[in-house]
Amino acid sequence: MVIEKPVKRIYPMLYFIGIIIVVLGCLQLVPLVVSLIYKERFISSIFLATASFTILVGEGLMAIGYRYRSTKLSFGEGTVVAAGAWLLGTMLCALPYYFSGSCLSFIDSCFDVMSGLTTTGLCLIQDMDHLSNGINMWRQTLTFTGGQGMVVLALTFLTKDQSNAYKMYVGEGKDEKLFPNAVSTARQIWKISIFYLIIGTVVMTFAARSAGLAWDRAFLHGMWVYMSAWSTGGFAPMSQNILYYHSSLFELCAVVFFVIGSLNFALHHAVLSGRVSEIRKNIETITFTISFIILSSLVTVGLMKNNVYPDLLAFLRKGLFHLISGQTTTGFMTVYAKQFYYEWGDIALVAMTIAMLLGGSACSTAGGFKALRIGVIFETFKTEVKKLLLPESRIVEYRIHHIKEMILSDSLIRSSFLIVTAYLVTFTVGTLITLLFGYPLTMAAFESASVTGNVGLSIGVTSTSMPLLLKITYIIMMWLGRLEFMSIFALIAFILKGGLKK
Amino acid sequence: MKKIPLVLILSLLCSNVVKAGTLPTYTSIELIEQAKSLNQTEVIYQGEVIGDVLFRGEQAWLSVSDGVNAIAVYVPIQLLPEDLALGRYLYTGDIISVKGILHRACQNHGGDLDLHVSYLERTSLGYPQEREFPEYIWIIGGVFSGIALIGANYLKKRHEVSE
Repeated sequence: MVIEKPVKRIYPMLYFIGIIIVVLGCLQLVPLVVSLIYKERFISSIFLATASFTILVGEGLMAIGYRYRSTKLSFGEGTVVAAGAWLLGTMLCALPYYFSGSCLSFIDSCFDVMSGLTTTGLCLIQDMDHLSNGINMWRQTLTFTGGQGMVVLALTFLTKDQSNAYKMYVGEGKDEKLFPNAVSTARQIWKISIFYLIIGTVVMTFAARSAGLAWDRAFLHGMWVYMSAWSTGGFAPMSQNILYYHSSLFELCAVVFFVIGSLNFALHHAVLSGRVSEIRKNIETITFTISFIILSSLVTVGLMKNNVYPDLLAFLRKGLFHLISGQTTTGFMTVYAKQFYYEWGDIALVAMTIAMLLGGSACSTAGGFKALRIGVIFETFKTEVKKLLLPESRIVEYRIHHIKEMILSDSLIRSSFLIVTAYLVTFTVGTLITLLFGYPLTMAAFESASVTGNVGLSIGVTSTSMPLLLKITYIIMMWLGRLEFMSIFALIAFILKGGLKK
Repeated sequence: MKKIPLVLILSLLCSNVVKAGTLPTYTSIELIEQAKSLNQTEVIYQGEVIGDVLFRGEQAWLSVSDGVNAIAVYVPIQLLPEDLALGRYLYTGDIISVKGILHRACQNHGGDLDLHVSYLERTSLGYPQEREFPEYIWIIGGVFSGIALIGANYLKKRHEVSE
């Protein structure tokens, strides 16, 4: 990727980063309203100050780059904008956590924000059971926005520039085009999300009410858990996560929404347009189903071998729930983190680690390798073997069905291998660094897979007491995993080139 | 907010044995990490009641936090104090001490790790957390909002001129 003249070209990029930052500032008005409704005076004042400060920073960047706003960005620059906005946005969004005292340090605050925006769901927030409604709303707003993509949100409302929009859209790890242009695609993604938000909040409110919460609490918990489920985030308002509700109905509803959330937006668009059979034919749903069957068999063997759960219901509510939660990269839990390590045994934990790495669908709120890439790699292997068995003169095409019948191009195969390799390298490095801090291999691999795949299931490594370097490593891993590497490499290249020019 | 776990830990250290018996009080970490060996045995656990009381007929779920983890406690409703105070934002809930059977993976409750309680005692009453919040943050917020509005107006006008 060649990026020319970084110093001069920085102005239009600052303009677009500014737009995204302004959107993030406006988002802080949501928790501000909630905290005002619940008369949380201190939290309201924090959000007023941080929201206006964030908007101010965004406006400043827009003003600096305003004259160059019509400049066409290259693909590399578009991705740098996405990565840069995520980095700066994370620091600005961490301010409410830090100043409200919800996190012990600014790094912890950044960790929680990156975890929310990347829909990971690991948290270092303090005393979650006494958290204000305003801060809880902020956590879920971050997750919900991060799931759809903050660049997608900015494109939806604040830009008409089609050419630059698509480059930034791709930079955020999404490349599916539901419509011919990126702005319409971004708007459609938000329409789909808002449609499900309304349905999901109603369903989860009733589920929370049936679990025993009072109506007002049921509404807030229902909405928050829905926002987290749809975004495959994993944040819950109470420290016990989903275990808090002691309700199989609540768990079932959450599973339905996080499975739907882990599906490709293009698949949602196809189904909502009447092409329901796409679910059955799509390579991603087929890959996800097959891998889930294999991994659930492994989890079953592992849990049965260790006699972990007494009956089928318990196995379904614990074993399968966590496997689906892991593979869709949601991270909702109904056990305590350390129970994985002390009770589940190696076979089940290895299966969980693989599930978390595989992940959900491309162009969804899910993380991990993505089912599309696994499907592409598998089809490539299958076709290569088929080629060996056929006469040399026969031409064999690499074909898959993804929304439409498509012939696999070399570039798609190459990018699939490249990104899966990058995920594996990140996972290995994360595991090694965790090992260096003295954690056992099973724990290190499990937590590292969870961080790389933006999952959020924890085996007990993530805590406020973990070493600072490990926190920073995990922040970077979450960021890499969510933006799928290339944008961040482009940003690093841009910064290094800019430095060299100077 | 940061003081709450400290208060809880001190409270736990001060009263290590519940009145009803001489069993040692376990922490949430011990209950989770030693769940295999403590499974189906009678234990005592102490902590703050947080969140909600989730009623299930003649029983109810409580979440009891010792400042590190919240443990699910299944209680007959006749044992519940009528005016049980629940810990929430700016409110420390009642501290209770419970005696009951620990289930590592409860057969009656879908494999949850829980404590089926036979004895409950309130050891201290909940109270509102009195904290002084700096009012000047409103002023800072007001000033920033004002400048942000001026900035938005400036960008809008600049846009209109260039159009």
